[in-house]
Amino acid sequence: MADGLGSRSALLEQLDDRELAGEAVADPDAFRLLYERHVRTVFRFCKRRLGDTSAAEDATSEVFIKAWAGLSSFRGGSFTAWLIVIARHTVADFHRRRRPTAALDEIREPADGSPGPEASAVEAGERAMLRNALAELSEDQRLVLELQLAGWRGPEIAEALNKTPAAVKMLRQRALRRLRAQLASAQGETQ
Amino acid sequence: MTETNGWTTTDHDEQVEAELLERFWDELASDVESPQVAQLDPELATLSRRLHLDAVTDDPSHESLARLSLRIDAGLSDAVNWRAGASRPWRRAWPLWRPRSAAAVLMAAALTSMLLLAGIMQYRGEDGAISAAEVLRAARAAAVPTHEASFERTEVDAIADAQELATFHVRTPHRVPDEFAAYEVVHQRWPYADEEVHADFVLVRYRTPEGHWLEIWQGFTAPYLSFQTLAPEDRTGLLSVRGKEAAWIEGRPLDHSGTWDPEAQTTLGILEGYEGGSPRFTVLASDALSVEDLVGIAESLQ
Repeated sequence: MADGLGSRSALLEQLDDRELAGEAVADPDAFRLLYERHVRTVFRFCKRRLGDTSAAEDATSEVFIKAWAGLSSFRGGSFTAWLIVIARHTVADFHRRRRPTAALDEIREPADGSPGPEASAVEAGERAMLRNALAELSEDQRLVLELQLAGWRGPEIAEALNKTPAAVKMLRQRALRRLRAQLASAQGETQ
Repeated sequence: MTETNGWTTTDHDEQVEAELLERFWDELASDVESPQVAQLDPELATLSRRLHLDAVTDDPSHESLARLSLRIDAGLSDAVNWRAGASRPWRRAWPLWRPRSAAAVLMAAALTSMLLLAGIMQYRGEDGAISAAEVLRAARAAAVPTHEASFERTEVDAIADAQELATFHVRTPHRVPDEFAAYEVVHQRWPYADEEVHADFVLVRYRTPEGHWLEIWQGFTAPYLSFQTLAPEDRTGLLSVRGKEAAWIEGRPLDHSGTWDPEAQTTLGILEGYEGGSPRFTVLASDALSVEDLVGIAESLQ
């Protein structure tokens, strides 16, 4: 018994994303494996765009449910790119639906050794400034940085976004310069 | 040519800088704490490092991953059911598995131990049919250590018995229509190692002699609500029940092309609040009752 399931599982693990997506149309186990491969990337992407853990969890689960429901519409190409397209739309829906409330787990008491309330507020302010500056970038620039921050390397980003590695490098360089300029401007306004 | 803070760039410089940044980010990704890439604008290096450090806080915690895993399993189970065209949750048929997948499962099932057979029997519906996904789930539950993730499922005789297993207050409905009789009460829990993480729910099922059904889910899962995002706008909405935000959905996807079947079922999901950061829901679903009926039952929960 265990051998039967084990060999099926081992077989699935050897498949690349595209092959797994083909299997997953009819096999929840294959989809589970795709989920395990990509959940961290999708979560980080959602967290960066939405800003709080609770919303990121909601969005991440929604992304994978939508992906599962729409597997038959996956026409090949990069599975990760397809997943990120779903994530972008899902996050946009969340922004339309959400109300300006703080997630409960974002305002929990700090653990021992963590910064006090004032330091936390400063840190949170800087992080918010960073997120706002990221939101001002062009969609391509923002995506490149966000995927980079989600743990991807340049060639992976290039494949997912259907761009050349050189184009991705240039997008990242221009994104960082623009980001730096925006942060400098924002800091100037607050002083 | 552009100039910022004394650093002047041309197209050529931009390309060089892009290459330097590529190296810098590669080293950051390789956990090099302070990459040294000569000639890179120090402000860009500082900004890159700051972004990278900030991104670490975006990593999902173990608790987040546990909650997500729970939701995905519930969502997949849900999706398997509607793909199979099951009209009732306890009347399952073999879903649209490819022959070789089904054969693999059958072979696995045939080789199982008596312990595993006992596990599968727990999932058998009233007409004796079980889904392939359920076979797999039962197989995992019986054959592998619990840390490899499978719901711990306990059938009990009454809601009061479920209370002894649940990590939350389980409410009893006091206005279920007469024609619905209690069918089963099940407590399920994700075997997460940290007992402090809320990862359980109680499902109470009712049925009529004609085979119509009513389900009440309580706890840390939101089955069916995943369909809210797929519902046509006029088939879903928000209202308030017992002072809590509730979402209703009329219907469910007929198939994975997205065709909506408005008659399939009605669902009412209530966000009861958060416990330890975990969202707790009450979800009512029926193939025979209206939103108003479900609201009435939800308001009678005590």
